[in-house]
Amino acid sequence: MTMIVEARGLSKSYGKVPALRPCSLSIPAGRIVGVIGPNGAGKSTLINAMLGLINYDGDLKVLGHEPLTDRAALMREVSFIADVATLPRWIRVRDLLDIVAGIHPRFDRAAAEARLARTSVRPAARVRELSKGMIVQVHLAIVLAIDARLLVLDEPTLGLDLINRRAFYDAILSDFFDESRSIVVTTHQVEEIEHVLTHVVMINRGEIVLDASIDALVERFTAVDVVDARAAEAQALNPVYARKSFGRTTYVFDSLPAGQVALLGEPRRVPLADLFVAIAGPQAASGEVA
Amino acid sequence: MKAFVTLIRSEFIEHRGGQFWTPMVVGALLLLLVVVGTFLNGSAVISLEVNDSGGVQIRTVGDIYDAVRAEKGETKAAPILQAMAYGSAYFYLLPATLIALIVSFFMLLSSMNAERVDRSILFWKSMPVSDFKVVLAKFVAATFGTLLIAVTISIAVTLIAMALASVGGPFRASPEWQLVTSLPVLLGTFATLMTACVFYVGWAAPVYGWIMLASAWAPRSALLYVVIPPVALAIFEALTFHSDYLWQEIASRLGFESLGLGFALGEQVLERAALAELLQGQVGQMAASTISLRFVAGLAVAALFLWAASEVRRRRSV
Repeated sequence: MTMIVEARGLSKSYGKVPALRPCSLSIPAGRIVGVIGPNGAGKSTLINAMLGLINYDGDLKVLGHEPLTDRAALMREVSFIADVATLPRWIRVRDLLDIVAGIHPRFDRAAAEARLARTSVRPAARVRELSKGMIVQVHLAIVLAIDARLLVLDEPTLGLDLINRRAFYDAILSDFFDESRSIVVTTHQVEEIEHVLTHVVMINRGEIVLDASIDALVERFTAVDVVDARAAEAQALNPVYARKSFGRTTYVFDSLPAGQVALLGEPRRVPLADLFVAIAGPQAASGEVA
Repeated sequence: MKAFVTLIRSEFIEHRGGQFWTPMVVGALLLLLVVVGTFLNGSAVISLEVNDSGGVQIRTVGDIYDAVRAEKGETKAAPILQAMAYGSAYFYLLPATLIALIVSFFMLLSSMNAERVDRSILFWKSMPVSDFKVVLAKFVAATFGTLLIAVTISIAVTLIAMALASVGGPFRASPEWQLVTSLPVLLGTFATLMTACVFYVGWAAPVYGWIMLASAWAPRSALLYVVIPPVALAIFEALTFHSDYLWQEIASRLGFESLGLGFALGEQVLERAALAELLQGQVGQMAASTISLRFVAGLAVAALFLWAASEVRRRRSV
């Protein structure tokens, strides 16, 4: 299986403060990978290392390139949208397209213009004159017009309203993703993208606490809502996570046979947010899960 | 190469105000003065009434010529008048060059710093170009680009000013004016200026490289990081070795003396061919000034600073 990202002993420290503890990671091609974790967990550090934007220790290969020493070659095959508006504010939209067309050999200017023509963005407008939603549309038009193998999104919809967030991910899925391309995305709004993810990497306190495909997670973890009267039965099966709500408790079980779970109630897929709390939340950290 | 040219173009778009509009506006103002002076026979420009020792009342440019003739006598005045005519004909080239040098300095100062402040470095780093190529493009745009744009504009302004003066100027019929505006002198002057820009950047390159490195390194005020280390070194040198080699080196590289330029105008009357030859000789003198260990060492130091700036850009967390 072709890997888009392979890391061995990857780590990053700022002085004596570890931002990313030594970790190993493999992400296969053709996946939509969600990198999930709380603020300061090390998500952006991992992403920045993958893009060669920071110094790091250990071995890291992205699409066969070493990001730190071979960033220019890597960026021929990778597109990137960061968590903040990074387009130069002084530039006009049409000049920006000119510049990208002159720099990026895989940029299709006509495709970017066609996408922008469907928006309210004026080509003569300067980036600083655009709203945040419009700036994202411009950036998206550029990124989607690049024939890249990997798209990296670091909290790309931060500060956008619901409609723009939805439109953003719809565009990514319909116009970028296919079997040969991969997406790595970090976001706080896990609920919005979890239905499209095929792979998850969970990070907590600079440590990768989970790296698995969604299929493997579905097979391994099961959630079930149990009425309070049967709580003792559920506790006896050692759930990894429990959350009380209105006379019932949601339990998450790890590697428990489906038949056993079904005795307690209707088994269902575990939401990623719950799974993250189960694995990396305060209960997990203190050993007091459920 | 296409990417490199595009990066330079991007720098021009970002700094169009300083690189293009500043010399344009100053040139337009000077042209306005020329127009007013030309059609009011210079009296609008020279409004002072000065009585020189020859008793000539100076109200126009022509009066100045008369005053020099009266003061020095026809023979001694001739080379001075020729130098004055040359200075009048090419008057805009100097301020345009000085403006360009100031713009260059501020472009270099913000070149590596501004993109980090507004976070646009994240966008530029998502493009498939190496950090060294970006740094080199910024250097070329801020130095050669700024100077050559300013010089090109100044040449256009000079030609327009000459055309206006030839139509109605006070000294259009004078032999000095006709000589200094003849084609060989015109081309010689412009070629000398263009070449001077290129060689000037070569001499000043280590200082410019240092400014870029300090800009890349500076966490906040780039100006402080540019100024403090050389000032501290110069003070250390003065206190320890009682010398001022560093200051002398910086001053000579930023000044024009390293170019080896030397005009003999004003000392003797030069014929058209001699004047054109004198100008061509300047190009040769400038070229000769580069065949020295000092020049090559300066380029090596500049290359080192630019490489270091690109490494800082590459490795620094964004």
